[in-house]
Amino acid sequence: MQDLTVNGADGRNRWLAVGHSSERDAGRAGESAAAQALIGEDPRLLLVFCSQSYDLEELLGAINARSGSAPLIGCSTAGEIAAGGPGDAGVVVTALGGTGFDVHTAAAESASEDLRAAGAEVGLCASSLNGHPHRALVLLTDGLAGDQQEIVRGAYGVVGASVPLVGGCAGDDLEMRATHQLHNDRVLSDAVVGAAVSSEAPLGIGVRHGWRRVGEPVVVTCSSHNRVYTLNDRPAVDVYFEHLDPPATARSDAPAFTRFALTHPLGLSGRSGEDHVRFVGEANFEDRSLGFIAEVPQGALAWFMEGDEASVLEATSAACTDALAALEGQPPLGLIAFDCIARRGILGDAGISTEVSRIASSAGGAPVAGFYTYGEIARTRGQSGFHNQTLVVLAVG
Amino acid sequence: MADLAESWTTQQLVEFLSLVSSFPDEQSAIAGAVERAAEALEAEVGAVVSDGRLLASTGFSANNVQVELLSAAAEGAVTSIEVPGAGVCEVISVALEEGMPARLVLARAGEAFDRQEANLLRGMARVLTLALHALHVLSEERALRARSEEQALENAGLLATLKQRQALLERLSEIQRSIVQRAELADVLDAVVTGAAEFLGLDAVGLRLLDAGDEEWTVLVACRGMDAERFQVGSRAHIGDGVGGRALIAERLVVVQHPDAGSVPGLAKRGLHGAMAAPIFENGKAVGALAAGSRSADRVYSTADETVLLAFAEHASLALTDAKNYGAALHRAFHDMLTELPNRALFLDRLEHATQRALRTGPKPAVLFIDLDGFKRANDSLGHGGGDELLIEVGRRLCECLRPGDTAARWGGDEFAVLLEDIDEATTATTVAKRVMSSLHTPFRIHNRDISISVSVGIATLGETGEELVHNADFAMYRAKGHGTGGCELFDPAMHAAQVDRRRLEADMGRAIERHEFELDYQPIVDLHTRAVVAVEALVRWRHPDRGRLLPAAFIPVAEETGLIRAIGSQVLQQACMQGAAWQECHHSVFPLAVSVNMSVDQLHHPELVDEVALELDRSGLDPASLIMEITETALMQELERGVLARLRQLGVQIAVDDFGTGYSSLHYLQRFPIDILKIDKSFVDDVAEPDQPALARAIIDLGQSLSLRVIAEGMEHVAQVLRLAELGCQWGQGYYFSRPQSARELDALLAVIGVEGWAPIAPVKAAA
Repeated sequence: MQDLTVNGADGRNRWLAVGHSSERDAGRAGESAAAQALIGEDPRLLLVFCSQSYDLEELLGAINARSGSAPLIGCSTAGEIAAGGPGDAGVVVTALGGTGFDVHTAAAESASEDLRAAGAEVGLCASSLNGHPHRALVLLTDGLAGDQQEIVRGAYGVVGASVPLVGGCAGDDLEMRATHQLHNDRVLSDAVVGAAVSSEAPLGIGVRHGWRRVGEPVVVTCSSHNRVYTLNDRPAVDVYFEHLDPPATARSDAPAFTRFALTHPLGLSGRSGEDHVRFVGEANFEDRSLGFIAEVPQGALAWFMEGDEASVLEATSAACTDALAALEGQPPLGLIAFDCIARRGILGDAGISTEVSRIASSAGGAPVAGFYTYGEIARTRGQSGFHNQTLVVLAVG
Repeated sequence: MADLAESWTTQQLVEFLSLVSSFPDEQSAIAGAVERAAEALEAEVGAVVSDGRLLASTGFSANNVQVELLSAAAEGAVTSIEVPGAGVCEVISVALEEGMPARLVLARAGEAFDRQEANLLRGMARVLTLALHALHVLSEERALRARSEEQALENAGLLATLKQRQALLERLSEIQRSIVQRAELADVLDAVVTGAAEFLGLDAVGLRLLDAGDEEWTVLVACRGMDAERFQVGSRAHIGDGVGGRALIAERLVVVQHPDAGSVPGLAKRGLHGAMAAPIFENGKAVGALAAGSRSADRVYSTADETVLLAFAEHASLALTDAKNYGAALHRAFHDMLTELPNRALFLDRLEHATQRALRTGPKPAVLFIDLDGFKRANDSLGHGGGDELLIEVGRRLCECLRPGDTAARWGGDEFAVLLEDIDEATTATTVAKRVMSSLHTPFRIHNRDISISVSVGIATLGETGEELVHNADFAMYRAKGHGTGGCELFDPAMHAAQVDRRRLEADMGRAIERHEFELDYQPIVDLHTRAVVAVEALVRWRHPDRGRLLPAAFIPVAEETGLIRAIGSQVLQQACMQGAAWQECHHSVFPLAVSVNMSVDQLHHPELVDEVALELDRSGLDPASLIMEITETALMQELERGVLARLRQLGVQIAVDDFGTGYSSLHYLQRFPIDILKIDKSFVDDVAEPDQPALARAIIDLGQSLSLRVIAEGMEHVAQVLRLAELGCQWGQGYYFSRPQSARELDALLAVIGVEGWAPIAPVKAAA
């Protein structure tokens, strides 16, 4: 079935449109989604978010055949987002075109060998941008390749504050085995792909998480890298259980624990009192330690956090509002969302439909695209740009 | 939240420390340090600039780094710079090393840097310098080793110095590690003093800190090589005394070379010919000094010596700041922020220790669980701030009632817990509980108003583990609450047994529903004039596999609390309708036999009740007019039920109010609600036959008549009651006089014998147990 596509052209020299297909055949799905997205002359960039259940080579072949090999970046996901609603096992193609955009793409392979260098290599494509005043570097990375902040550091080292960074980590439908990145006609893994975009009109970025603190703070009294052994000088798992009171199954069963932990992360207190959310990946029931997806420094003051549908949806609206604020009242050509898979865990199938319709209504009829990620990238101020369990929205003006 | 910010600052510094010591060379250490400092302070731009030369930078795009602008920022020529993509950024710049040209610069959009951030950045600069020295030494050493042995021999002196510096850095990283691992503060400071004495090769080194009680004085906290008779750890000196005093007051390094020793009073007296001292800071405030002196007149203090002393002093500052903030953070993690009392976590920890100790030593701990009964009301009337004040005051009074070794904790909301250690007998705990109650019952003066609250206290002295004690005290507290406000209850295992029994009953009940263990007895309802059986009331029984047949009083309250009443009610309704229809089928009479079913409030709230009743009527074929649904008076209190009752009535079902006269119904409700029948409670029936007694029963019957409601008298046991009630105008009745409740099969036989037409001879049935 082909979903309805909203034509995002604004009649000027920029256009954006989104196509979506959930056909099972890769060739037909790619062809159909690309056909819906390619509504204008002179496509400058195609963003492809797709399930990795497809034959990705075939999918890319069909899209490129349709687009005449316009520059393309993309990745596999843990679910795709389009204006018609969220979906799995489908493909969403976003096309940007017209002389009002200038785009340069790049890919860095074997990223895990030197994440920072990979970030820097892709960041270099921003140096070729023309004189359009508004810029962003869209990064799609392999979230399973290691510390993603290193990629952000590498890219920032090259582009500096001059180009905001935005994007997300590819997914693999929660199999946690391998993700794929797409660049032009190539299907990559363990890679960083990027598109430096400059535009005549503003590009806005909104970042929100929607978690709230539970109870009293705890001190990380013993940790090493991503592993936390004690909190308040007591076994980390025990303290986690006491504060959050998970159901009995989550106290001894690893998959049940991970499901519970998905909605109960740890927040590290930052300079301005904001929390850096850290996802609790697993618990070692033997030595009572907790494993995190990113580093948790010893000595840190932390809070357990929880979210529910209402707080997560509130964050959705706020992220859209923040992203749109940069457009100074002009309607967007489209919104692109990088939404953490953990938020999907909280919202459930009904909730993510509500979320996507909220994003769509913020877009005011403009097309919406995006995917469920294993980590989100958004650097608009400061230098830290890697997030966990967050929604990042890019508003294309 | 200043202390939170401080804790965060230290954490950043400790992280920074481990980061910069991990780099293999100077260039990468500088670049890494710049980047991490900028990240920590959320700055867009970071750089190290030395004499107009850019050693590392971040924030400008790689092909557009503005060296001159960064240079000007480093030298303080500008206080803000324009950064592409970030706009105007505020600048901060600190020297890597005092007197040296290299400076660490950050620039941030939007918000200027505050004093705390400036301190953090200075700390980072200092740490970076130390790391760079280490790396520099390593690179020189590598170069030296590359030369021939001969050349190395020529450079033996230099090599020795370098080796010593390497050792110094190793010592400093040892101290860093012990700070990161949170070793005892006294041990870390001792290591600082020992290290300084060793590496400076000086005779006397001492570390003094301000006296917490009187900041005009300092206390010696660690020393090496000082005159043991006069200087011991703990000895005090005036704040300005000696070289250390000068460094503390001036907040900078002070060096007194040999010829000037006379200018410092006391220096010569201590036999020292020269000395130097570096200030020690805690969260940016000077709180002490590290001083070192020599008894040799030949000792001249070099810049290298100064660097070593500063490095050790810096580490003492780091250790102090960390210890203080860590302590504060731990305090926050274990205390309730509002009342400052220990929180639940700390309480449980102390309780666990107390129970462990009790296992070894004998006297046991006791736990009091205290709940403020009227807190919500007081909070609403006082406003939020007032409620907080009340809780603080409650906490204070609680502490006053306790011995020093006991613990009062805020359990959460308006609940408090008290741990009494080493209680010899339960009466002691009860005495404390009474003292607490009496103290808390005295009115509180909040916002110029007298506020009275009452408290319910549960006491537990029995329990093998802390968890069990808390659980028991909590249980006793709920018992106390159940007996009305302002009570105190000592936990008794019987309470527990009752609870365990109840839990078991709950568990069994779920299974009983699945296995259809609930069955019905039926009690005939008789027309008092014709003596015909006009209806039967269905009464539920539980055929419990272990406990035998249970009457409703044994399980309905539990069923109501757990919500299982709905499922039981459904089964009752289904059985009753089927049985009613069956009787109508086989016992024909002029008046079809009705069946009456009790409904709980919970069932009435179920949105599907009306549909369910319609379905059961349909399925059984029972005429709706033959189904009576009995509700209690309390159900009449709520508006919601009115709609439900009206819809039931639309089905054709009759509505009866059970136990009428015992609850709160008023005429008002009777008029407003769609009702067909009033059932007079047994208590009004009991003495109805006594002379001059039937006033209440008569009133109910009259009320029923005036509202055109049928009246059923319950609990009839004697013929006199039957006669009297019939005389008063009561139409129907039920009770042991006619028949006890019995199984469908028994009643079937009875109906077959007497016919629905009734008991011909009035022969009282004996009341069965």
